[in-house]
Amino acid sequence: MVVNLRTSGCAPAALAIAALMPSVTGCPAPADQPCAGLDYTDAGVTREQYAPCAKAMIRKLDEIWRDTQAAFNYNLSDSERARGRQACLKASSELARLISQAGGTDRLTRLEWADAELSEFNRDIEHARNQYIVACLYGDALGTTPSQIDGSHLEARHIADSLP
Amino acid sequence: MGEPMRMGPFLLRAATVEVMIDQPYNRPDEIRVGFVLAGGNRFERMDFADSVTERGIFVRTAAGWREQRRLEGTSEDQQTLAVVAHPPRGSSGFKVEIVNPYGEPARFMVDLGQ
Repeated sequence: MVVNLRTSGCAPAALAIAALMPSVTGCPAPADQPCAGLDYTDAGVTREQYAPCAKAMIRKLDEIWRDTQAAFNYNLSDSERARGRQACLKASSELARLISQAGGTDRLTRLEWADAELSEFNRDIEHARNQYIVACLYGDALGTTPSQIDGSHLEARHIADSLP
Repeated sequence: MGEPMRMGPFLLRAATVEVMIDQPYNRPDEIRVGFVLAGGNRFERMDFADSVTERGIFVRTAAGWREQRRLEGTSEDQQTLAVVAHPPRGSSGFKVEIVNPYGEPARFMVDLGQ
């Protein structure tokens, strides 16, 4: 059993709790890093622990979608659309950071988690993110203005809403 | 072959060697080395295999041929892994060289024999 107190930033709290409850192995992630310090077991991550991270990912995906809409809204000026595209790319990299904090794409999608719904959520997030990045980067060139929210995005949001 | 290799919290052991024969010529065509990995949970074992691949795992022959390959999990629990290589026809004296991601010892050499 390994408890990394140094990187989690909650050592005093963890030590105090651990003194009372020897079975405690992790501690809540800092509010600004909702995907940091997840406690992986052979089963993956528990719903309770993953919920704040999953919800943060969905908020970021919602942001990317809104920015993508702005980037391809031809009622807006060129500069407004350019700002939308920049915002989309910035939000995409922030979502990538959340995924990285959560253990990276491989841990999220290469191995199946015991909770099939969370595995589905992880795949949906990755799929929707890729769709939006392509749209942000190449939408004009490909002539594919995204007009509908991605189906994987909707499924992921539905799963995140069901988390505690 | 078969000696356990301690790398950080993991214990890796070469367990099997399969050689595919190029039938018309009766020469080795593909070599597949199976490993057993202990330690950590399956996510940590997957990360370990990726680290080994990144640092370097090589298949070598007595004639000096050397190729960097991937260490790939072959089971969902990541306790069995494999390296596959395609040495030149007629090769013999196979070895696997593994750079230790944990540094000490720096590398392991697994002798697979002829």
